[in-house]
Amino acid sequence: MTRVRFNPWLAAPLLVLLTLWATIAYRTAVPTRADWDAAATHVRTQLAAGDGVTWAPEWATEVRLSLHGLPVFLLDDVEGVDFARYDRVWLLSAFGVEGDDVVDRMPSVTHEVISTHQFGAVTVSELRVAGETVVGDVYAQLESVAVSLDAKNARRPCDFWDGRGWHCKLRGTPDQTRACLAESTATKLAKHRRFNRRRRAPRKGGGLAGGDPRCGLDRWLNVSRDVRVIGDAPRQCVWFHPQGGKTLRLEWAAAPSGDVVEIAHGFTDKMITDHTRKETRTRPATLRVYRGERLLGTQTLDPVKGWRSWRLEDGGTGPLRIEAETASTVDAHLCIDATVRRAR
Amino acid sequence: MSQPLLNAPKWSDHGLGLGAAAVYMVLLVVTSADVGVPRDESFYFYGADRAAEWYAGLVDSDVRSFSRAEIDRGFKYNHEHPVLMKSLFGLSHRLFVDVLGWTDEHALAYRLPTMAMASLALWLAFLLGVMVHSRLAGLFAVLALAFMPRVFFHAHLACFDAPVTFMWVAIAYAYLRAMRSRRWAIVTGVALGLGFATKLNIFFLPFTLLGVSLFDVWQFKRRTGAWRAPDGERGPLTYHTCIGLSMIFIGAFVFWAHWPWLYYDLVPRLREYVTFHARHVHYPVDYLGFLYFKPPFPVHFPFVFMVLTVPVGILVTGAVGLAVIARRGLADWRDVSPSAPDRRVVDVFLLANLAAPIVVIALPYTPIFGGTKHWMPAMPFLAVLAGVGVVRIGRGLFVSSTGAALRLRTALLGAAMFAPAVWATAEYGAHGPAYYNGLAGGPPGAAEMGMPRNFWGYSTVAVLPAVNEQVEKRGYVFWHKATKWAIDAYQRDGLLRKDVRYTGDWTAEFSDWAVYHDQREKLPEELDVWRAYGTMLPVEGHYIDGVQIMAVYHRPSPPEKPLIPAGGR
Repeated sequence: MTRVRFNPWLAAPLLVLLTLWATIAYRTAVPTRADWDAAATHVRTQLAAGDGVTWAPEWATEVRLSLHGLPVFLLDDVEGVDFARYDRVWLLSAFGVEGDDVVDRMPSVTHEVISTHQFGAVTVSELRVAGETVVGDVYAQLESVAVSLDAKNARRPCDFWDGRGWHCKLRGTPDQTRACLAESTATKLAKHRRFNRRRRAPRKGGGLAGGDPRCGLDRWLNVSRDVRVIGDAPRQCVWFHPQGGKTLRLEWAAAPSGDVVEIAHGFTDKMITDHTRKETRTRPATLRVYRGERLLGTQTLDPVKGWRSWRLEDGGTGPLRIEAETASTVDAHLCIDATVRRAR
Repeated sequence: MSQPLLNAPKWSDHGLGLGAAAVYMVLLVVTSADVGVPRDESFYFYGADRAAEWYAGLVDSDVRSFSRAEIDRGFKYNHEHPVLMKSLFGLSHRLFVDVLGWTDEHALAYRLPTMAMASLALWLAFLLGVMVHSRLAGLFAVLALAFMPRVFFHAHLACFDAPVTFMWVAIAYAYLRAMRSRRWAIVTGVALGLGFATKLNIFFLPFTLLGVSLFDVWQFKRRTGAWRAPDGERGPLTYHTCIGLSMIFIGAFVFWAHWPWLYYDLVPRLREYVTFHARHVHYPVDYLGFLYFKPPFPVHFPFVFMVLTVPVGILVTGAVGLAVIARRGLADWRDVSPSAPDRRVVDVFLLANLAAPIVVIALPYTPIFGGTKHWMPAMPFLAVLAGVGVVRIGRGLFVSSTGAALRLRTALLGAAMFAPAVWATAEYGAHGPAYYNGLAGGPPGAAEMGMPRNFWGYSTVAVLPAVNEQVEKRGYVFWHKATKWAIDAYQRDGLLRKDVRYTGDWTAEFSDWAVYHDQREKLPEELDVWRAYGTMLPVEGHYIDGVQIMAVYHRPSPPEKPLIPAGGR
């Protein structure tokens, strides 16, 4: 019998052929916009109160074009992903990611894939959420909280609402500031340009004479609904920038009672690691959480990169109060996500 | 000395190489409008106009062109880079738009010098392929260099990376000829001066070639027992001395002469130029899921990028070629007999020129923000090795064939192996920085690995049709990484409606539309848009294989007075 010998030079064109096959494989796994649209339409027809919609992998953001009008949230960190705000989650996935993959990565909670549907290269997984449920959400209820800044013996109320959050300092009257906030984009841009010119060549007594594009509101020192890059991913959170030597206080009188108060928190990456300085200028911050007059816990937040969770036993009633302090205002870019949770 | 073993290029070789260059030039010209304007290119457009104005002043008797004021007017802007290319961009624009009126595409007119140089790099790659191996190797060197999507992308831009790639290979080619010709030593000096006039990376080339020269001289000593050739003959030491002197004196003169900025305050201005680059700031580097903001950077950065961004066919044949050349070089090094072939240590020459641009970037403290473009001068040499590799694989596979039949079969095999690269260039070339090969799993695989996919605002061009269609009259657009001059360039070339406004850098909150360029270190700026518009959902975008390159956001409703919650004022 003749023995067929493999010519080793064949390996070169075969390797090219193999990667050609790999190329065809990944190209066929790419969803079209029509696939994403069809998947989103399916979710729309099934949507109920308590549902949330997300996608995977997180970089497959083309799906966002199809998700307008849906209760969308980010699934950017499957290790620490939190479904507790929802009863049911719709996961739109592609590129080989399935609903089970996401569920399997959260072994501590037994979410269940109850249905899957295929729309071209997109899989829609319907997940029944298990574990805790959020009964109180500071982010969602931010209009209902009271914010103040305490220094020595004085308490300064932060009671101007700009549509996104609470501000302590105003340069004009509240009505003037509200009117300013409602100005057109063209007017604001013109103010911004004048403002920049003045900043480059400041004149004596310039002040707000040419108009402040931000309507006299402090860009940093406020407590507002926000989204920031923390731990390499966008985090929806409440901006909670402490000020050196003062106590930033958030009090939610109508906070519901629960088993646990969870405070996810982090300093923005930009201040901690994503810069060219030798080291961060952010100083540690201290968080204190009270239920009524009872101190639930105190924690010092070190200026390290990441989005971390702090859980405190609750069970009490009365206002929920969160206080933050730091030694220095510089780069104290803290953002928190506080929720009250109960077993489902 | 023994008989040289390098093939001297014939006129027909020049014809073939220049023919390939002409075809490539046409390809670049017809695809120019698909390639967007990166930030730097828009700066160079402006610098080019200033330089061109200065040159125009040379023929205007009312202008004292060599006065300090005129020189500063012409060359002060962007004086951290020499002006050979900016001058050519500006003169090309003047010539083809204003004087000849051959085109009304302004960006194209600025870009023609780059395109010409990138095309001529193919000619030189062909000649090198012919010299070190064969015509067939040269032919595939041309194809390999032409069809690397990232190189193809940069071959369009009125920037310095494709030109300096050409200059590197031009200097290297001249040097190779000068290794046994004193006339070519003069050419080498001129070429080096022009290389320095193109971009600073050329700084590393003389050191690379010095290493090759020392090796050549040493090899001569090993074979003949003497450093110098016998009386009446010239040996490597003579030739390399001529090259060195030419590089130092002619090179330095050409560099100085090309840059009027140096005609005043030579030493402080030269010091400023060198210092700028020696202490260049580090921009963020997005690599394998980690954002590096400061050194040390990973040594494997350029190597991994090479493996993932060069089409696999070129990579495989290049690796085979590398092995062939390394083996041949080793054999030459071992053979110390006086009658050994004199290949002018061409194998070492090839490997050194392939390695030097990559190794420089691999050093942990080198700024590497530009990614693959910074070691593009290595690509012509990789292409030559790929050509050698194709020929070697053909010989290995078609053992029973000889002569024309072997060449034909090898050519067909090479064409088949390079076909995916041609397809990839057609598919991804206009967005070269987003291209990843099949080993990476394409752009989606790269996204999964945490590799970058965008580059300094060039990709705006992909969403201009959507902007033209959707933005209201005189709409306010935040263009993110695209500069005002880039937007002006699009409007001037009719790619963007003239009434669409530019709001400025960091102005998401003062705009109604936002065009976001997906770069991981810029994610906070995308979130600025989310915060300002109150939505994380774009209305349009540009996606390559499902991976976001651009997102277009629209403010859902005009600003309005906020309500006053209970307890608020």
